[in-house]
Parts: sequence; C-alpha cells; structure tokens
Amino acid sequence: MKKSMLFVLLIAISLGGCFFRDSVNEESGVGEKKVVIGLLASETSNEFMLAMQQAFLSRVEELEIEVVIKVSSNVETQLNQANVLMTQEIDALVIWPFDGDAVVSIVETANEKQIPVFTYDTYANGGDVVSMISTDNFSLGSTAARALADMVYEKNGEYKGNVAIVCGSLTLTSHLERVNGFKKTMSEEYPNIRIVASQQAKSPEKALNVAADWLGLYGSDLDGIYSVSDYLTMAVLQAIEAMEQTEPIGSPHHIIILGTDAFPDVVTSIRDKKIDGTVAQNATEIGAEVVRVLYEYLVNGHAVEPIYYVPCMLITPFNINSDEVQEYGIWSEAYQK
Amino acid sequence: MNLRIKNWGIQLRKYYVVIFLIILAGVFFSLNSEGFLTWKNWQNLILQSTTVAIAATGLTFVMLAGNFDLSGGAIVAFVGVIGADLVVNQGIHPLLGILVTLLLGGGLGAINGWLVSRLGLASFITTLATMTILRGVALNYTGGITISGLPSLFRILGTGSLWGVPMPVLLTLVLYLIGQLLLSKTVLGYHIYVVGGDQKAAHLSGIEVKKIHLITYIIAGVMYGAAALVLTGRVGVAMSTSATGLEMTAMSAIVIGGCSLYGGRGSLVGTYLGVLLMTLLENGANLLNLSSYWIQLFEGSFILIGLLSDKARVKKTYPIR
Repeated sequence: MKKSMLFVLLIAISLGGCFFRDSVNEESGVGEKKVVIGLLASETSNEFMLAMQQAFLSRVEELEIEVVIKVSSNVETQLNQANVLMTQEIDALVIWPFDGDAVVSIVETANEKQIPVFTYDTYANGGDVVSMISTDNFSLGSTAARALADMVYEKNGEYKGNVAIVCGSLTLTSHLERVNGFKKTMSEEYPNIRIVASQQAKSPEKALNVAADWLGLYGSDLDGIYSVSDYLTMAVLQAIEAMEQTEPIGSPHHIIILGTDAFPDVVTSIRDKKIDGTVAQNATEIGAEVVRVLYEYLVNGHAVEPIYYVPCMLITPFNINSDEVQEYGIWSEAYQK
Repeated sequence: MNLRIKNWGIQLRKYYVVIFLIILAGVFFSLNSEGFLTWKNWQNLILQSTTVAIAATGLTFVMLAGNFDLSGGAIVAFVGVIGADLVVNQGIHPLLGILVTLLLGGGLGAINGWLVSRLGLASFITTLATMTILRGVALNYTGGITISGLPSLFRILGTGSLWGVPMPVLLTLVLYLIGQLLLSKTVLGYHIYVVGGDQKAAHLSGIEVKKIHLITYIIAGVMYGAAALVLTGRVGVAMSTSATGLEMTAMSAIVIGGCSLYGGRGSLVGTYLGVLLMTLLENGANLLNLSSYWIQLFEGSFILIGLLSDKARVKKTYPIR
C-alpha cells in the first residue's frame, strides 16, 4: 500500500516536471540590467490567444526584454498570480483581463507599488492604466451589424429580415462589448432587421445546440447568425449542415453566417464559400503593438497614448484575395502551430 | 396481465418526481413556444441529449456502486483530443482512432478505479485530482490548438445515421440496453447494487468489493470514450476545453433521476429521464430566448428537489435512521 502510494507520487512529480517547464522564460541575463516585465496571460485555449502571445513573445525576445509569464484560466487565479508577480522585481505589468471590473483590484495594487500597468484585448474599468491595446470591440460589433445587414440586403433585396446572435461568454468583457455594439447598431440603423434571439454559448457544442434549436424553430425564416467569436462559428456551420439547411451563398434560403476573429478553420471555410464572412481582428498586430508601446514607454521614456486600437476588417469570400486584405494580413495564416 | 400493469405502475412511481418535472417543464414550454412540440424540435432535443446521456450511463454505474466520478468531462476532452490528433496528425486509420479513443477512456477509468479501490482513496477528491491532471495534460498536449479537419469516418458516431436514425441516438440506445442488461440480468449488476447498498455486508457475503468498484470505473471510462466520439463527431473539432461541466450535468441528471448519492439505489431509466429534463431546459431556453442564468437557477432547484425526494425515500425505507 505505502509503496504504491510512493510510486504514484513519483509519477506525479515526474509528470509535473515535464509539463511545467515551458511556462517560465528562464533567460536571466547577467551583467547589464535588463527590463523585466510581468505578463498575466490567459491559458492559450484557442488560436487567437496563441497567435497574440506568440507575436508578443517574439517581439519581446528581439528587443531583449525579459518576461515572467503567469497563465491563468479564471479571474481568481489571475488575481493570485498578480500578487505573486508583484512581489518580484518587475518594471511593468502587462495584463490580459478576464473581466474589466475584476481586474481593477490588480491595477490598483500595482498603482500602489508604482508598477506601470498595460492591458491588452480588454480594458480595465478603474485604476491607472498607462495604455490599453486592443481591438475596439464595441465598434467591431457595429461593423459586424452593418456587414450582416448588407448580407441580408443582398439576400432579401431589402434591409429586412431576422437574425440571431451566438453571444459567446458574456462574462468576457470583449464578447459583451461586441454584442452591445451589434445590437445598438442593428436596432438604430436597420430597424427592420429583427434580432429574434441571442444566447450565450461558452463551448462549440453549446453553439451547435443553440443554432440547431433556432433552425428547428425558425427554419428558413432565419436569415443569418452572427457569432461573436470564431471558436463558435464552425459549430454554427455544423448545425446548418446537420439540419440539412445548407444552401449556397446567394440562394434565397441560404442562412448567412458571420463570425469574428478570423480563426484558421473559418478562413478556410470562407475560401470554400461556406461561411459568408468574419470580422477579423489582427491578433499578431495586437501582440506586437503591446511590445512597441511598452518599449516606447519603458526604454525610450516617451509618453504614450492611453488607448491604441488595432483596426478590424471584414473578410468575405469576395475580398479575401484582395490586396487590401493581404495588406491587413490574416493572422491565422501567419502564426506557427 | 393485471399484474404487469400494476408492475408498470410501481415502476413509474419510482420516477414520479422527474416525470412530474418533465411534464411541468414540457407544459410550460409548449404553452409559450409553438416551436416546442414539433417533430423537428424533438429530433433536436433527443440528439442534443446524447453526449450527456452516454456519459451519465457510465457515471450511473459508478454512483450505483457508491462512488463519485468528477473526471468525466476531462476524460471526454482528453480522449477526444488524443483520438482526433492520432487520426488527423499522425495518420492512423479513423476506425483504429475510434477504437483507441474507447480503449483510452477505459484505461483512464481503470486508473480512477485503481486509485479508488486499491489505494482506498476517497473517490470525490481522487477524481477531482485526475480531472485536474487530465485537463492540464490535454491543454499542454494541444497547446491550445483546436484540432479540426476530422475525416468523416471518425465522425461517424456523431454525424452518421442508420435506417434514418442518427448514429448518436442509436449508440445511446444500444449502450443503454447493454447497461440495462448488465444491471438487471447479470451477477455483476446484482453485485454492483449490493456493494452500493452496504459495502460491509457485501464484503462479508464474499463479494469482491474492490473489483466491483474497479469494473464500474472501467465501464464509465469506456462510456466517456463513446461520449467523446459523439461529441467530437457532432461538433467536428476536438478541443482540450470541450465538455467542461459535463460531469456536473450528468451527475445532476442522475440525482434528479432518483439515484441515491450513497449508492445502491437508482436505474438507467431514471438517469435517462434526468438527462431528458436537463436537455429540455436548455432547449426551452433557446426557443424562448431565456437568459441562461435562469436555466442555471432551474437546474439548481431541480437538483435540490431530486435530493429532497431521495431523502424522503430513505426515511420511508429506513425509518429508524
């Protein structure tokens, strides 16, 4: 009994050793004083986060800035890790906030310790943040509403129809903002396009079920579905296929799918003309921009703007090969798996 | 004949709580949404219940024997990711991939069972630990990448159909029948109930309690593997974060279905009715465009009702306690 317990413990420890190795960047430069920054990132549970962090880390490496990374999967662990980070000597704190409100206490603690704070992808609703680098999620929602309205117009010949929103996770400020932007623009600018349903979906399976339920209820009366993040968009496509309501783009019974982010699978499906479009955010650009702003502030000592918005862009089957889109860049075709 | 009808009555009475709740929810939704009582919606509903139903079938075995298993969702995600990766990136045959997914599920179940039965660790905490480990390993294995581009043969259990019946539904039915046969017609099934009812008595009457515990975890593991195949098949992607909370939905369904938390009492019929109720709630919320917060509130209350009725039944059966 005791022996086997020991055995289990040994296995657990050795497994732990294998998996935790890559979570800390261990290059400690001896000699000249390097700039050290603390990064509170999210678990890279999707390609977007991965591309963003990859771009960030590769830029940081080029500029020989040292990074201590702490990864978390929810608000509470992020808070704990922030406290751990701030006991170390860091010159700045970079945060990916799960929630604009919950992150405030982290920002305030950092303010007390006079550590400059930067956030990316989402803003903090309080405290003193030097700079925030993100897509303007509210205006992204508006862009999506206008794009979907135009697609409804293409289909029905008028700005009139029924659409639904797969909301993602409304505890994520970025998703909430997009939904708000979408709803506001749609109701103000296109009063005849009704948002008949909007539901949260935290996983692709949930998105699949929600979309299937809507298709069962509304059938081809539903003109389009807007998905607030592309990790749910493919599931919406699966639902339409499973409900046997697949019609080519341009046919009167086609159900429009509009996504957000430009994930790899979605880009492929846009090329295959199965998905009508996605409002791309530039993940690699956001990651690189954070480092540029950091460098300006910390190393060059220049003043920086409080907000940097990295523009988003609508990608459709019709413009995906255009110079404009190529210039904007499709991050999912640039990052390394 | 008369006896048989009476027997049915007794059978039904066992599930009166869950049946009552299903009818209540059903009436509410059909009054408020014309889309609810349609053939298409019920096709959707049954299809959507399959992942949870299969996982819950496995979990019922574990709970009947008096243990818990919190690692269900994590195993589903883990084996789904491994199976999909082997097929998509390592180029093994999809059918072999399906087999590996099932076996891996069984193997992980065996580890759970070994930890609980041989080492005598508390099942709740042990499976909490394996759940955390497996989620972590899956996340590291994929590095956050979604595995897509699954060949249609690998997805067959999620998207295929046979004689017009969708594969997931057929699979759920087959697994249910096998489970029911195991529980009601074999010595093993009898032993599971006895072990769950009173471990000491079971041990004294010569039943190998540890072995029974191990077997129930292995059965659960294989079922999780099957659930993973249905899930990845339906969604078309494998992710390390999929099936989050599946174990809780399954456990709630099982409890609402009348399975005792202390083991020894419950049935697969009850479990499936519980799963149906949970799916019904989600489906109704989607049709009525209700906020999912409300659904959480209902689900929670229904679990409480299930627990209370379980407690009432225990009192009735063993009034002295």
